[in-house]
Amino acid sequence: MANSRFVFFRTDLLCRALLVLALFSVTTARAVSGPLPVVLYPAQQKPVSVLNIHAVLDYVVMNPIIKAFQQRYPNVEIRLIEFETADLFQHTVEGSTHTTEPPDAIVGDLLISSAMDLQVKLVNDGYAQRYESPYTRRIPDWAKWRNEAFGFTFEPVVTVVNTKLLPGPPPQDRQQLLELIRSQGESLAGKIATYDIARSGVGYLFAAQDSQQATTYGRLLEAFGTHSVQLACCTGDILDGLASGQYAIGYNLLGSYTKARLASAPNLKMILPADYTLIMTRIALIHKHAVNTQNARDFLDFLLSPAGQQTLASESKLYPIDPGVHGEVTADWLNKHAPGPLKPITVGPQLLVPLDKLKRQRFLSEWRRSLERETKQ
Amino acid sequence: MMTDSPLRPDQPVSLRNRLILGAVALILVLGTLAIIAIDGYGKRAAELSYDRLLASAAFQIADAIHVRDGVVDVDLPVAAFETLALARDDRVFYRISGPRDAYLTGYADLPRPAADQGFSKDGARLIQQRFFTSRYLDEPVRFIVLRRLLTEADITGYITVQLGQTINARADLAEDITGKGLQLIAIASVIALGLLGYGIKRAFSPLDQIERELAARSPTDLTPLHVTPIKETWRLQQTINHFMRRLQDTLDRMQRYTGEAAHQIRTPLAGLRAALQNLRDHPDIDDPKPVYNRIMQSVDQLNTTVSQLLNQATITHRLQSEALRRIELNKVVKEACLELASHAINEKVELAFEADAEDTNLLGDAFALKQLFRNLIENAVRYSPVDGVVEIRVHQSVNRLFVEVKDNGPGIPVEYRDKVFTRFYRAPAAVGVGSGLGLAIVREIAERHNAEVGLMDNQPHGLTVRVGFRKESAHGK
Repeated sequence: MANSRFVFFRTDLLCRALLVLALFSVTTARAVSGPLPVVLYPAQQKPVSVLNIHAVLDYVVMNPIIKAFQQRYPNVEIRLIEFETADLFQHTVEGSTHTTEPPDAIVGDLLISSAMDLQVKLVNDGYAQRYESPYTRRIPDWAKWRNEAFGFTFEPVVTVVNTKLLPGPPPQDRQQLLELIRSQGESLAGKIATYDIARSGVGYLFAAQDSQQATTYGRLLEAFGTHSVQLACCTGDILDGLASGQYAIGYNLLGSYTKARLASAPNLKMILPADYTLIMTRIALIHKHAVNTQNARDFLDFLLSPAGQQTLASESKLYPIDPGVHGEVTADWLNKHAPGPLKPITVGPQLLVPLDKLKRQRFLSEWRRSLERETKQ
Repeated sequence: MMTDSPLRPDQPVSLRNRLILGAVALILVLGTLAIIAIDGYGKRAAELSYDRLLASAAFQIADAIHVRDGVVDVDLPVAAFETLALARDDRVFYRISGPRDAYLTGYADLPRPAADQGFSKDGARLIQQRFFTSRYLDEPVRFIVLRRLLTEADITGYITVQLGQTINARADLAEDITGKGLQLIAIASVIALGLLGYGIKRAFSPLDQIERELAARSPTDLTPLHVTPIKETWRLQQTINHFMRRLQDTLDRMQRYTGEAAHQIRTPLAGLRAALQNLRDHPDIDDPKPVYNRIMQSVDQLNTTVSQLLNQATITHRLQSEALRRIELNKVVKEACLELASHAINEKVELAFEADAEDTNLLGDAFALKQLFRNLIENAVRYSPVDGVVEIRVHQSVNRLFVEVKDNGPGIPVEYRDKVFTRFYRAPAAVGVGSGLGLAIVREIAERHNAEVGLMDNQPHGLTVRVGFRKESAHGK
């Protein structure tokens, strides 16, 4: 029995064990071969059932949620595997090509990802199972699909500036950002950072949405290109660069991670673009062939429950989707304080379009061309 | 013999139930037909509307296919998928292929249409489309296959857009339409049933009124019904009233009859009692013979009255219950004579029978008719003098058969002749022991046979009773 190995953990040993495993996960997460690293959250009571969560989420963000869940469900052992967006999709589709330690964690009962388009494709291609509960019914229509994909956050896509490097009023929308870049000239060269959309699924998703939303996108890309835009894999790296003064402007960053960083980096300012602010939602889905469907449902319900949403807001700093949760990191706050319209990215088959093979090729090549052409000039 | 009524007489057929059953059956049949029709309509309407969405999306995609640098390129339009997303919960699959069916993008393994028969072979048509339904990834999927002829300089041939969507929204819409239809039909049915129920209740209310009126009556109240006259129940009401009148008459007659019968029995009983008392009070009477004679006479009288009453009861019952049969009148009369022959001899009266008719067949009750003739002959014998002759004669006219019984008795004065047929009436001059019932029975039997009874004088004195039957042929058979 795989379970029996872990029931000996005492609660005082738990933290150390988690730390070891977490470190292990950080060092080996990007390894192409070898077993996928698993973070273990042992159950606190017998009998034990095991819930496998495959997530594109930082361990730090996931931690408080899992803890809070286990307080309600002390019999559930949780095995968390962290993935990159594309890897989660690949692993779910191909499944058996990987191994895990322990080996029965290979199928994620619950899949959580910020790559909305890939999650939608998993649903479209039949990898999810239906579920309906009083909690899933509270999700607004745009954030769920077929009762298989469930959005549980309401995170703004933001622009971040370093106020030390950029004195004066920060740009409030894309037009002002464009004018600022043009007026600052060469001094901003190498100081602008955004996602490398070829590497980042979330970055690609935001860029695709931008291209549909506004004509400013093309001009913004050109301006980025002429100012040697720096491309990064993730919001965290860009925030690091911004805080350290390496970058002055970060475009299309995840508002939730930014919000969490603001406390420790007072020189950063988060801007909700006033022309429109994209809203993304992290999507959870239950694997069609989930081994532990019941606990996956329990976890999903908890994630969507007032208690879970409150934990998301106050501890994980992920903007929860429930408008009934109050505080500064909430959908409620955004709805009341955003300077411009909020444009939620609707969960549905239209998210399949950017994933189309030819569409992606064309989009990426146009993206590269506009960045590179301008850079060469 | 065939009995085709499975109903026992204590389970009467209810017209009301029959009507209601019929109405309900009609509504059920019509409702079912309407449901089938609406279901079909709903499905077709949903199919049509969502096929249009699918076609519209496929056209948008086909429009986004261009040749760039000698390569077929697809710039998948988001708008097409947003169109499809109008079907909120349906999955979308697509496959785009270039000339010679070369796969370009999308789901490579989509099910293909059964054969190419859906497209016309007419090369001149720029765009061809067809729909089909197939299963893909565990769900039924509605597909459109759209072919567009590329007319670029460097590449010619058809590009094919195959676009599919699961059918949840169609099913929901069809269900919705059907559901609304069902609601409508249900409401209409309930209203129709209500109206029918009300109508049937109203239609039957005159019958109910008659029923209530009759039920509320005391058993002796035979006065006519007074209910709102309705055309359909008028005849029934009239019939009931007519019947009640007859019942009233019968009751009256019965009452009179009972009274008279009691009286008739009491008179000889009183005589009997007086004679017996006489004997008790004067046991040593010189000559008791006359007293004994009176007793005998009273007993005879009683005997006659009681047997005539029984006779009448039997005859009345027979006449009501027995059907008339073909009989030979001659034979019946002859039998009556033979039966009474010894009695007549005892009374020192001679019976003479004469048959003057050849065909004496008619419809009648032999038993009752024999009783009739016996009564007439007995009467004649009773009133005949010693050594008298009673003549019995059967003869005929063109359309009648007559039976005449003649005696040489005192006869009946003309003024009494109408009354002698009344029960218990005895002419003042009557002698011997008669009950007064004999001729009443005669008349009753004669009426049943449509015959007339006439009284005439006999020559030189005496009475002739003539019973005239219609000949069978005179009835027109």
